[in-house]
Amino acid sequence: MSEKRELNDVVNGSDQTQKRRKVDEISEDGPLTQEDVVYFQKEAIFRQMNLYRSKVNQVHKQMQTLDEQNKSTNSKLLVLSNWIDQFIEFITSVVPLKELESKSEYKILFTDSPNDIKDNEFIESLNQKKTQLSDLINKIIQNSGAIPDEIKENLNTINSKYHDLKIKNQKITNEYSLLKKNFDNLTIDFQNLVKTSDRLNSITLKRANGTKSEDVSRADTPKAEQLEISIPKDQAESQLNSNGINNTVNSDEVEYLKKQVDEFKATIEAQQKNIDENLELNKSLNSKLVEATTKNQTSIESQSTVDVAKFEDLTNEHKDLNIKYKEIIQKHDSLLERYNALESEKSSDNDLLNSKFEVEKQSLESNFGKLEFDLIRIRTARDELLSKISVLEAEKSGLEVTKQLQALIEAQKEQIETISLEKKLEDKIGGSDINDVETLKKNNTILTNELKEFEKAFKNLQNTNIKKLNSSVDSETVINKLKIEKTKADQKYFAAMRSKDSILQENKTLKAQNGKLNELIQNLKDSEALSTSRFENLDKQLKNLKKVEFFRGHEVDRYVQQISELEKNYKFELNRNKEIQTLLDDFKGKNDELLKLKSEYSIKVSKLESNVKTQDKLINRFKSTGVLEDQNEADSFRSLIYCSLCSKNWKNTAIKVCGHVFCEECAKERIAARMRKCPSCNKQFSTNDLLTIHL
Amino acid sequence: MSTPARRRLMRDLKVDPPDGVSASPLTDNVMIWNAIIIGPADTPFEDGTFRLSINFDEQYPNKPPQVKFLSTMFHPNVYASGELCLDILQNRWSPTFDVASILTSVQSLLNDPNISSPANVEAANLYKDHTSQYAKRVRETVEKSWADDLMDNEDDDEMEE
Repeated sequence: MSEKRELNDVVNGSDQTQKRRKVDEISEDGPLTQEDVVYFQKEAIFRQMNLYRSKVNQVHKQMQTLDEQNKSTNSKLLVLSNWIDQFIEFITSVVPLKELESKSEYKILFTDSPNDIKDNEFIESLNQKKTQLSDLINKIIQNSGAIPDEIKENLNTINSKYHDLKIKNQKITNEYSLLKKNFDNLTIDFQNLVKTSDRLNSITLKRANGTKSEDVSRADTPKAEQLEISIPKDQAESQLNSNGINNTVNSDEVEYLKKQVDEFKATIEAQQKNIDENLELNKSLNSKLVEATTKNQTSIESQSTVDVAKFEDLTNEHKDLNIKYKEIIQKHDSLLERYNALESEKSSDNDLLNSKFEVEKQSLESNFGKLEFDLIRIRTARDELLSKISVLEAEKSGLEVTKQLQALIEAQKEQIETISLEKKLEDKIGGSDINDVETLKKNNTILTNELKEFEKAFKNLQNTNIKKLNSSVDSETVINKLKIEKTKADQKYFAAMRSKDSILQENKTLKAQNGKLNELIQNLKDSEALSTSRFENLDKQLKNLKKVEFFRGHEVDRYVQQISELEKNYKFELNRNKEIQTLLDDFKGKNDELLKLKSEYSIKVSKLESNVKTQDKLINRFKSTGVLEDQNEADSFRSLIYCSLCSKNWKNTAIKVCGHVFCEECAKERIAARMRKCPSCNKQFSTNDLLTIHL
Repeated sequence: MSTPARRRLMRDLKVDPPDGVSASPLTDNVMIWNAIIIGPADTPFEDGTFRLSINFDEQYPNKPPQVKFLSTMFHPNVYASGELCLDILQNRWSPTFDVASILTSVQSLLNDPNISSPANVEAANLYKDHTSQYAKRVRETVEKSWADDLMDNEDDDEMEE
């Protein structure tokens, strides 16, 4: 297709001048050729280079500025270090220091010039100087003892100034950063703009993106203009050219149509003039009408406005007063309601509290009585127990007597034994003396009798003793029981005392509540008095308002009469106005008719113009060599007619399922290859779905 | 020699390619086409001239052709070998597609990559998470594409000469 051109381009090398030529040579239509792409590449590279160049320039500028900054900072640093040196020297010379050795050290340190040292070292030296300076100052301060006040003040002022400057510095740095951001954004924008402008200027881009470039459109527009210009000359040209009969016939037609158009234009102009005149008339009438209506209105208004205004004011006032009156009544009602509610609440509260109080009091009193009764009972029980105890104690003394009796009995037993022993001895001894024996026997019998009696007495005593013992044991158990009862009674007594205390406390609290309630009642009474006073005030206001209302009513009546008169006047004027309006309506109807006529004419004109345009187009088509378009049309028709798969055969087989059309060969081939889906829409089809069609 | 595939390709040649695309068969073999896609404007691929080769076989248009980028690409759906991962070139191929439609879909694929099935995982990840870095990498390929193409062109030209 384009090998020859491409060859030429390559032979011409790749200079800038060559590029120009290439741009000139760029193909204007049809598909992109290889050399078009090459141009495009070159331009793209050129654009990118420009971009990079601008970036490099920016970087260079930045470098320069940074260099300058560096220099200035260096010089400042030098000055600073020198200044510090001088300062130290000055201080050492002025202030008489005790440590002369240190002085010499400082001097040695400051002999090096900062120019010879590298950055890091320089910074280190600066730091050292700083520390030395601070040391020196500290020493001076220590030496001089207390600092003079002046210096202190100076120091303070300097410190404050330093602080302010610091804040300012921060602000400035912030602003600087903001500005820098803005600047960066701007540079980016600028770059983008440059890029877009480059892209807009590049012909190849337009070519690539198929915007058919301005050249084509330019070429088109002049042609069109020429055609337009040439229309008047058409007759002559057609006569001269005599290319075909068709052309001349068409030009004749165009001439005829032109004449017609001219005629129509003339008529339209005439109509336009008529319409304009009518419109002017209409306007004047309108203005007259407006004047008349304004006059009417002014006459009416001048009479009535003042009165009406007054009346309106009065009615307004009346309304306001009414509203106020209603409001006051509402307030009054609400206050009354509130008062009633408060009173009812108060009484109900009182009743409740009293009833509660009484109930509690009664319960407490009954409790109290019970407790007292208990106390008395407990006391009586205690007394009884005490008496029992005394009885038991007496019985205890009786027990002791029995013991003594027992001891006596034992002693008697011993005597008896001794006596019996003596008797036996006597028996043994006095065997010989029978008399004696008899007497002795008598004695013995007597003694045995006595013994028996003793034994009897002893047995009786023992029995009585045992009885007494049993009775004492019983009494002891009774005492124990009584003791337990006593402790229980004591506990009950204490509990009763406690409950009595609690009752007393409750009594106190109830009394306090009562006092509070009394205060509340007092408050409520006060509020009641206040509300009653308010109520009286409101009543007074109400009376005043009623009086005012009465007066207003009289005034209103008067004004109503005036208003009726004014209304009569107004009706009369309205009638007049209506008459004028009807006149105006008539004029308007006339105007509408004229406008309709105008629109009809304009529609006719536009139709004729469109006719002219179609004729022009027809002429153009016949004039331009219709060969190319024909070819294009033929191509498109061919692509329509030929099968889209093989583009060899005509379309003659439709797939009934989806309606797409291919050639028989392709369709059968697809079925044979088991690809039973429509190539266009992937719908399944079978042999039965094929339909031969005849174009 | 005229086979259905060749006839179809000749028809394809008559169809105007879309904007920003150039395609033509080799002078000695109609079955192999060289195409150039110009990167669409306002994308990272802007101004790039990416070369593709399209190899057709005799089963065209019933089977899709093999499409391959000759320029080095940095794109989520392009393998390192330059082969494309595009559905219409595989399972969704239809015989109604022609060269122009293939190239159009490749062109649109440049700016709308399909992240769900990445062929270049790195590119996909960058595209997802670090757009600026992705754009930078793409710009590099764009600049490379110019150099490649010029070299290729010179080679071609020499051959033609």
